[in-house]
Amino acid sequence: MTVSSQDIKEASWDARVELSVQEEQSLLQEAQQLFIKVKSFLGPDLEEVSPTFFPIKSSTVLREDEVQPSLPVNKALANAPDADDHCHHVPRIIEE
Amino acid sequence: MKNSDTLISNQNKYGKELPGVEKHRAEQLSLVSAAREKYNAFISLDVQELEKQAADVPESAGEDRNPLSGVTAVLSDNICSEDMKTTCGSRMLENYLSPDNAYVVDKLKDAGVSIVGKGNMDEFGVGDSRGVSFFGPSKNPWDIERTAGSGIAGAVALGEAVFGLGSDARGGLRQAAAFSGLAGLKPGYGRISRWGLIDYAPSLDQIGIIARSAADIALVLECIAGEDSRDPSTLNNPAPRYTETLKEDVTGLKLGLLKGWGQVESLEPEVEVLLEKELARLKDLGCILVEVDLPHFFQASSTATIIGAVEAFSTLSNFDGVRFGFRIPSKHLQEMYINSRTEGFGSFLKQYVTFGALASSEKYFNEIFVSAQKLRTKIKEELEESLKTVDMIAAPAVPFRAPLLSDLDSRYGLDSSANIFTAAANLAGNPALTIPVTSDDDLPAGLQLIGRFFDEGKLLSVLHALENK
Repeated sequence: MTVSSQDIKEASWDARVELSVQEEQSLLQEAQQLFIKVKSFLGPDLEEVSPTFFPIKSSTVLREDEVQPSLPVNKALANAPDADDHCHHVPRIIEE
Repeated sequence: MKNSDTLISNQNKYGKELPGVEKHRAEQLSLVSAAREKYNAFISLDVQELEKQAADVPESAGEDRNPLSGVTAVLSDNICSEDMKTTCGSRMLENYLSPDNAYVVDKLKDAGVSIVGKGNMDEFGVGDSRGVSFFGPSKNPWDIERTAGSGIAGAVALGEAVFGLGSDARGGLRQAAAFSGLAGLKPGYGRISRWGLIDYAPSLDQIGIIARSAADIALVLECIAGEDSRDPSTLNNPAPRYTETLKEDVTGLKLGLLKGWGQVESLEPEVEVLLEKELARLKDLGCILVEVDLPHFFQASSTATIIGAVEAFSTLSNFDGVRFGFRIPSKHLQEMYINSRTEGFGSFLKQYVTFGALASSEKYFNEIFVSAQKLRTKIKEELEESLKTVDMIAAPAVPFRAPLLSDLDSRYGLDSSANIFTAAANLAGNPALTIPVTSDDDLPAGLQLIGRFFDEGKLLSVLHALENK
């Protein structure tokens, strides 16, 4: 299993961050080592094992649909870097 | 001062304020400010609360008075509070003021706890026990050239707060407790509501408690444990009176000592010596030590790194320059996302979320991420089976003592050896406790006990017995 520079570049795009060349190289090396290590843990005893995504058995999270007070708009927008009375402002997706 | 001689313990023991408490309060403001400046323990201080503490003469304790009333606390800066900023140690949330208190904050305030500040922390909790944020490192009161592991550990070790609440995803809280000579409890999964905690790995993270004594942790746990309808992962199992179970006899308790703990490559000889002494003290208390063989236990750190990173990739995706404070303006939306996250996140966090994206990408999803979740099954099953034959498992909390700040980059990486003994309890969800092991002339270490689900009380009873030996 070889992790490539292209893999790291695509992952950083997915994560919406830009890595420096040094960060890319460091991550490539560490990811490669970790993947090899984890592969070495895998044996035939794992083939029939079910994955555990959560440490406890979660019961249904559904509850009665009751109207509850929601976060006021002014509070929801209070931390936004750019907003008006009701909306977040973000750059255009399609250029004019 | 003996470990058990703390403010809460004394208030609880004698039912009244002790001499020194008033003085402690009067000095609080200047001491806390010094802790912020010298040790970088706090990101924010509640000056109003500190001034109130300094001015108020506490009411005499009556029978109805909550034993936590007037007691000082520090919160890790990823626990939301309405009256202080919640930065998560990140430039991304440098000026974020939460619209709500976390569940635990409301519970503490209802009990009369005085929350004096928000503690420094690894950015968004990612970083284990480096203790380094956008605001700099948390320095250790035992040696200022070393990390405290977290600001809450530093603040409690300095005596600027009686206890601290923080999060523990792969063991950071328990490791920081060990670095700072304190006790640190990660309760079982679902024991404490995480509503209002900005966590990075929801299937691993729990809110934990750092304090000087078992009695202090027991009182705080009694206050904040329990079911919360806003956090569906909390369990419907009422919390017992931990302050009562604390006193249970530990004679005959069977402790499973992790086989191979002494052969771990990163284990410092000094830690081994300190832990051997503590294990001997446990035997003197009448605990029975047997060896348990848990081969998958040592795979937990790498497994939790993969799972934690994939979860962080998802949970931290909403910090994109739209809803929260930090934004690098741009003409294009994608460019704004990327520039805001690149400038808003620190170098290690950027690499960690990128690794999460990599491990969950189509190419590696089954081979790496699903395999890690299968390993998690094995680790959990192995722990559960073992805990049918012993009452708890004993191992170091962290293989080394507080590292020098200048050595942090070489000590920590994606898969830090700091997590080798702690990550299994996060993957399985079991409660785990760091017991501080101190020496007269050197840095402290930590012994870790991992218990069965809902057995936090039993773990604390062992610590209590050791404190009173």
